[in-house]
Amino acid sequence: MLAQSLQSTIALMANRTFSESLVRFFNLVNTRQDDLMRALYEHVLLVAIPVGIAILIAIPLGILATRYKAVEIPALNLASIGQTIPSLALLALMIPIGLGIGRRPAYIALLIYAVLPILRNTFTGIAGVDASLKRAARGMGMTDMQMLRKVEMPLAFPIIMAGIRTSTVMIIGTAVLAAYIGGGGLGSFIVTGLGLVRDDLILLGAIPSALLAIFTDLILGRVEDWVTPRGLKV
Amino acid sequence: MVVFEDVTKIYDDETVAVDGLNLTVERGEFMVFIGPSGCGKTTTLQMINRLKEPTSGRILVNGEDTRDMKAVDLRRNMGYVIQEIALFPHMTVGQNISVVPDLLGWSQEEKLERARELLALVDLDPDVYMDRYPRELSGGQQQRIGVLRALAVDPDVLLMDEPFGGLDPLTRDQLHDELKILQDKVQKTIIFVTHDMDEALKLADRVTLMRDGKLVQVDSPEEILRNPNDEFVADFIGSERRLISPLDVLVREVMLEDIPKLGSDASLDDALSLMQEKKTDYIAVADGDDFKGMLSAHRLQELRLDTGPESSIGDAELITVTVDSRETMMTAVHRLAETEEHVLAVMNRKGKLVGAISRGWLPDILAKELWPKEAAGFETEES
Repeated sequence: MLAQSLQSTIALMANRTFSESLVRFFNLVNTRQDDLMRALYEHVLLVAIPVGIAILIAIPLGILATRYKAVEIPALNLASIGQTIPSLALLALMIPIGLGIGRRPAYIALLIYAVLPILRNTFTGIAGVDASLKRAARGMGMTDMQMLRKVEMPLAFPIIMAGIRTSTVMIIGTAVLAAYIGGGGLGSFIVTGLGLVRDDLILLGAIPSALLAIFTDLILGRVEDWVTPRGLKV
Repeated sequence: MVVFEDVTKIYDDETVAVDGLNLTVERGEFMVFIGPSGCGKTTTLQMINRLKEPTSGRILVNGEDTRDMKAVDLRRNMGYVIQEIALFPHMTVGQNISVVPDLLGWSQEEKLERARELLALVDLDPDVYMDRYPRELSGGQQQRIGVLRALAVDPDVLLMDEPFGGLDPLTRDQLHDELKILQDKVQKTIIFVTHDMDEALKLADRVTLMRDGKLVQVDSPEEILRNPNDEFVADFIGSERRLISPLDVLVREVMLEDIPKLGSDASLDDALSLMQEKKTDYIAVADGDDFKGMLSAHRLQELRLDTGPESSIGDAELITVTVDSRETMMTAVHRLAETEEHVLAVMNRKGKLVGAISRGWLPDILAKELWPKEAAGFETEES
């Protein structure tokens, strides 16, 4: 069914120029402004909630992984496995495992996806702090918590932030697929557009989600720069 | 003061890093640990602040067993400087110096004041350097800050693990001089690890030479140079370093330690027979601990002619020229020449008589220093 509709969409689009499609897209933006804003809002939630929870899970887990080998190996492996499952498959998998359709299963699937980049960067960021700095910190009488707070976290923070950025931008893209399991968001325009063979509707989902990804990337890039300690930049 | 009692460290892979170490580092002493890599010197250092725990034995710092203290308290009261320098790159110079004061909860003003005071101590302008970041400094400047960071809370003991190993020779030389000046000002008990013999000889009050986790020799640099315990020490020092001038030898190393003594009421004849008996050309005149001066054989002969053999030595003009036991023979020889005396009394730093340098013995001393082996042969023939 999907393949058929895609074929007809492509056939239809091949008969039109892209500029015609764009004109129709802009008309649609005007006429369906409310729908667009609602979908955008849903989309932001589809990104913010999983990424937010992923941060809360991945940073402490990443820190623990640098302390205990027993955490490091299972945590990093599980997260990698989660990431290797194709995103559409992971979303679809929510249905047979009993989570059904709608926003909640979408959040959970995206969360599984969002954890790895943050976890990995937290781990490598902290593990990568120069061993001599840690020895100096310990030798001067810092406790483990003080070392984490005063030395390791400030130095690892730009790297952790880069993980958050990667994760967020990636989830903005993946969240488009959430529409397939009824998760809403900008992806719903695309799914409908494909079904109805409406290129303007496809663009109504595609262009704002692409713009959202680009702007988020720019802003988080700034944040990353901002959290980099001044001493590392001079 | 740091005391090692039967300290042994065996790693998990059963390597014996330190083997039954017994050693006392005195308060205010600059002790250098030296030896080839893997000899256990760094392990020994890291056991003092418990970055490594001894497998057996104990370490006392100022009389207290380090195991009875909390590791973080122990470390905060002990400076630690390492080869990698390891200033925290995200902190300014001022913040780096204030790390331990910060851990101890000093106020912002106290921390600032101390950091400025310490910078001034090594002639770095606080207004210029306080807010700089480590990356903006040269390697030499960074390690100066590293040393200041270790001194921030004025600890009794300073641990330095090859602190100048990563610096170029010129900078290293400069920092050696500065460290010596600094040590004169702050008088810390310094335990310094290096594999560089020149560094050890230049800085140390005493040098501890280690091999395979054991002490091979613990002595002053002069003594190590002159009397290496065995072939290993001699090789480690290197033959070129041993060719030092006999006049650079310290008085205490070569002075005559056998000093016949008489009270001031003894007669000149008593003095003569004592000299003959002890085969010396001098005696010390002292009433109990009250040292009056030296009497040389040369002067004794003059006095016997002038005042007769029965007169008491207390009435004679005694030689009161002295030399400090820590001075070099160069100084002693000059003093003998200037004063035209025949014997010098050697005093230790507390002003107590500990030996003598006599004109008659100079050739022997110099010969022993210049040609130690031949002198040793000569000595056995004579005795």
